[in-house]
Formats: sequence, C-alpha cells, structure tokens
Amino acid sequence: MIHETFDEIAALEAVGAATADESRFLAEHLEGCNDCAALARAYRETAARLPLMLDPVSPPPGVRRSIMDAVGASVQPVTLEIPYRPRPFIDPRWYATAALLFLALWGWREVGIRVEREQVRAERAVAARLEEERHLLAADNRRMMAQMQELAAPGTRTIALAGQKMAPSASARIFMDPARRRAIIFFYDMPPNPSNRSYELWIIRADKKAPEGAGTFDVDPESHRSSMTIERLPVDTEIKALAVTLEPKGGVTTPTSSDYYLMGEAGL
Amino acid sequence: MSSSQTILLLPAVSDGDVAAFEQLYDRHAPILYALLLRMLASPEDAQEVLQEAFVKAWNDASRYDPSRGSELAWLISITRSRGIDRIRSRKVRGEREKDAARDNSIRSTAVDGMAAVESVVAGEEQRAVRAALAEIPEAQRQALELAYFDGLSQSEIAGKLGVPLGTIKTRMQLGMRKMRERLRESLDR
Repeated sequence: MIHETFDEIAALEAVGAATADESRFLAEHLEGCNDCAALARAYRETAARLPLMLDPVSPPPGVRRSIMDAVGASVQPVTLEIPYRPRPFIDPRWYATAALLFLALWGWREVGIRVEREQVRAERAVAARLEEERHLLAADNRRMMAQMQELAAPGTRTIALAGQKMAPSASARIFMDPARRRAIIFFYDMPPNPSNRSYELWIIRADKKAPEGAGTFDVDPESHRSSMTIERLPVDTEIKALAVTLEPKGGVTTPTSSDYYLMGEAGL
Repeated sequence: MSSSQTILLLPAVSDGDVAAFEQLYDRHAPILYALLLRMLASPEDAQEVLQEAFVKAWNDASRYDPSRGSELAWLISITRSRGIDRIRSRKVRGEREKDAARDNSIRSTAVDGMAAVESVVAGEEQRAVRAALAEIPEAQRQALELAYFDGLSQSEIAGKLGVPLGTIKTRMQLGMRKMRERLRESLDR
C-alpha cells in the first residue's frame, strides 16, 4: 500500500526538493515499507531521465583532452584540483628542537609574567605606603593648623625655658592656653637623648612640693629639636615653674636627678 | 533508464581501461554537458564541472552497480550533484543573477544535436521523455525544472513563483506521478 504522505515526499526527494527533515522521515519509512520504497525508486529513475529533455551539446575538444590527460597517464585514482604530494620526511630531531624551543619560550614567558607580577606587587606596596604617608602628612597638617590657631589665640600665654648646665645652649618656648588647659612646647638645641632614656618635662606647682610629670619627649638627632603637647594642664595660677631632666625611657613619677637641662619660671 | 543497446563500459573503466573511459566520455558527455549548461548557464563552469564529474567517475567506477540503474543515470547523478555544489557555492558569491541573461546564448550553442549522440541516448527514450513532459501542465513542469535543474528548495520555488508552498509540493508530486506513469507506458510497450 502506498502512503499518500510518502508519495509526495518521495516525488520531492527525487528532484532534490525535499527538506532534510522530510528526507529523514522518508528514509525511516522506506526501511519498513516495500511499496513506498519501490515508488521512491521509480520516482528517482523518472527524475534521472529529466536531462533527456535537453538537446545534447558536444563539449569543446579541450575538455576531453584535459580529462584524458588527467586519467590517461595512470590507472591510479586522480584528481584535477589537488594533486597528491608526498608528505615530506621530517627528522625527529626537529620535533625535539621545536619542543625545546617551545618550552624555552614558554618558560621565558612565565618568568616574564612573574617578574611583571612582582613589579606590580612592589608598585602597589609603594602606592600603599605613599597613600599612608599622605594620610599621616594630612593629619600632621591638620594638627599643625590647629596648633597655629591655638598659638594665635588671644588668650595664649608664652613661657620661655632656658638651658641649664647640662645643655647651656638649649631653650624652649611654651605656648599655653589657660582656657583649654592645653600647652604646646617647642624645644631647641637639645642634645639627642640616648635610646634607653628620654627627656621628661616637670611642672613645679605652687600648691605641691614635688614636681609633677607632664610628659616625655625625644630629641631629633639631626635637628636637635622636638615638640610636645600637654593636655589637662593644672590651672595656670598653680604653675610656678617648668623644668626638663633626662630620665629612664618612658619617664618616671619623680625626677631621678637634679641635673636640669631646661628650666623657667611661669611668671604667672 | 534503458541501456540494453549499449555495452557496459564502467566495469572496464574500473580496471583502468582508458580506452573504455574514452568511449564512456564520447557516449555520455554531450547530455551531461547539456545538463550542466542548463544548470549553471555558464560554459566555463559547465566545462569545469564536467571535468570534475568525469574524473570522479574514473576514480569511483568500481562503485557502479548495474542493478541500480544505467551508466548514464549513474553519471547524471554524479554530474548533477557536482552542478548543485557549484550552484550553491555561486549563491554564496552572489553570481546567480547572471543566469537569465546567459540562458538564450547557451541554448544556441548546441551543436551537432543528435548526430553527436545518437549512440548516447536512445532516440526512443528521449522521445518518450519529451512526450511525457509535454503532457505535464506547464506549472508542474516549471516547478520540477526549478528543483531539478536549478537546485531550488520548495520554499525558494514558492517564493520565486509567488504561490503557496503547499501548491508547489502538490504540483511537483502530480508532475512526477504523471511523468512516471507516462514513461512506464511508453518504455514498457
């Protein structure tokens, strides 16, 4: 029995007009349908006769010559387009050399990548350090600006400290803001303190017998200068004098020596 | 396709018989060239593809199975397949537009006519084919020719002729059915 659907597809397939899906569908059906398979063969034979509707045309003689030249010299398979060329023999040492060269280039590339990565890491570290320094400088700048504002404040009082026998040329200037009970002190021409010791500023109060430690500071070995800020000063009328001694690192509660480096009366 | 009046040449060709191959060429080249001219509308392309087809026939001659059809049918299959390949590659290059302009000049290049191929195509068979085609309505014949010779798909034919896809399918089925019946009647007599 001929199936109408496959009759149509077989006719289309014979003239090359069936779609890929139709051709696949037909092929699957023909495997199990002898009648349709015979019909499909008949359609193909019919289609193969279609060229007979044309008037035959003799090709130019050159075509025949070309074809016969191509096949005439040999009984071996031939091709017009891509003549066979034997694959050239390549010495295995060339492969080894090529492999070594590849490995060397690959290794060189890897080294280059690592060096570049290290450079990037180093540059990032430098950038981070510079950024940190920038922040510190900005903080310093803000601090300096604040100090200058304090120094310029109308109620700021100044106290001068003079060098003593341990540092005759040394001096210091104290800018005191009684309203805020704060002071900024600048030290000049001080001998650098040993690494295991630091200078300590003492406040000698009118109401107390023993000096009161106000803080420690280190002197820069190159500039011989230093500075410090004091918070929570005693009330200015209680400050009789100020003095500096060299004490163990970190400071002590009472002076360990009467060897003063700086001293000055508050004059308040 | 009948070839009872001719001696099979492809078995000898498959053994490397160049003389047999020359005979095969002389016998079938004109109809194959006409087919390629109809398909490609370019003598240069047709000659190139004809060479390719015959070289393939030389290389694949051992694959020919006489029980599945005539030598000419086998050669037509190879040639048309190569022609379709060339049409498709040309479509990519956008050269197909020149076909119509060349068509008339190619038809006039036919030479020698039947004299050159009287042993190629049995006159009876060719007359039968032409008679069968003459009985097919023009619309059906046109659809078949566009598919077979121009390598167009169903949808391309529908688009070209401006008719629904279903109509094209029906036309081709009816045309093929009628031609098959007419040829069977003619050649079986």
